[in-house]
Amino acid sequence: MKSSFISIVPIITFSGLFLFMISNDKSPELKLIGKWEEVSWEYEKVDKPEKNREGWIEEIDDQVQKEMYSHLFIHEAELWNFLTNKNLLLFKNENKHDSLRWKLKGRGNVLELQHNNLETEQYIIHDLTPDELVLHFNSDLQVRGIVKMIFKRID
Amino acid sequence: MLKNKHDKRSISDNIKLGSLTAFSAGMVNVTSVVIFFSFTSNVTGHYAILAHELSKGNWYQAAIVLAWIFLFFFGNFISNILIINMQGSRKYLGHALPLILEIICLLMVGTYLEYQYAETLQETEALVALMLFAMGLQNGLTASISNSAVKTTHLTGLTTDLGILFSLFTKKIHREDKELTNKAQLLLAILFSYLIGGIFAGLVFLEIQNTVFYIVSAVLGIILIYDYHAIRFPGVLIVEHLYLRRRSKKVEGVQENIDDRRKSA
Repeated sequence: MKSSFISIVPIITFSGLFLFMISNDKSPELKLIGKWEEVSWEYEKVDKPEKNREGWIEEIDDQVQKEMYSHLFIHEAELWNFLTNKNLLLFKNENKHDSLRWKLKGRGNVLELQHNNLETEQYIIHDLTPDELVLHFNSDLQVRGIVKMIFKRID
Repeated sequence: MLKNKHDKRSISDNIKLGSLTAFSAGMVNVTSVVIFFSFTSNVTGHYAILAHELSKGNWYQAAIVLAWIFLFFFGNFISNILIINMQGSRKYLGHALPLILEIICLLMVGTYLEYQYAETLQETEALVALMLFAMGLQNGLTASISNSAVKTTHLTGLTTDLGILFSLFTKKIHREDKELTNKAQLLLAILFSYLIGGIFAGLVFLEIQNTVFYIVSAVLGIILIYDYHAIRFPGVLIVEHLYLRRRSKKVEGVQENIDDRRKSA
């Protein structure tokens, strides 16, 4: 009897912890829904490859840079509206200029945006709080920090 | 591969089992990274992520990662429960059931991805959980029946063991130790099988997509079929056993005759 009880202790502990944690937070999908305004964006070396801000970019060879930039879309001073139907509307100067599909991958830490022509952008969600969203450009090439965008919630 | 347990296992049994399961684990892990952006055959990284999410106060994501870790644990738990409770004549079945469950899990993932997947976060979380459970089943099975000699879903311990072994091989006395060289062979077989499985999955995924899961299931099926005659045709084994016993008695008789002749001479 005692040994059987010991075997189910981890299961009971896990269930309790899981229920406690899941009931104290919202899914990242729900947290993301709403309007977000880009307040800061950094595109390192996209326009000026010769400039060395961090010192590391010089170590990335041309081929790797080309590979990264081929998947890179420039978003500056936009307003992003994440809708519950998985559409993302992009506004610039209060005019809608693009519509994309959005989805979260991993544990909700990867944001994938799909354009109408099926091209995709992927970002690591570095921070997602009720007021702030910080995105980093996600590259398979294990290079981080090429793009950093900060959003503030406006609704 | 599955028939024998612990000390009754040969190095050949372990290499065959280790290679095939490591190949499938490599395939599963790479496929899950491509589809879900998440590892499914190892949990060390998930522990680090759990700690990171907890430190950031992301309770939801921490709960999900905790559930993933738990399911890997639970897969190991179920595997060993089956093995220790099915002894004697049901031993083979006890060893085969974890693999059968693993195949069912992977087929479910592949089929769901093919026909139902709408790419929501909840689906991703559930499918990753199922894959981690499957990998837990596999790791529990191989580790349990091989007395922890074969662990095929992650390579941290293996790389550590290889580092230690190769440092031992700097001395001649260890290079000539059959047990150590056998262990090195087994670890290298697992390592390369895992790598080849991962490379293969990465290469074929773009072409065949979710069919990868059916290939993994087929690889695991080979392990089941390899020892299938043990349960399907037990009579064959009995006849084989009787034949070997009679033969050994015959050999003993011949030996006795030779000894008698020598004595009389």
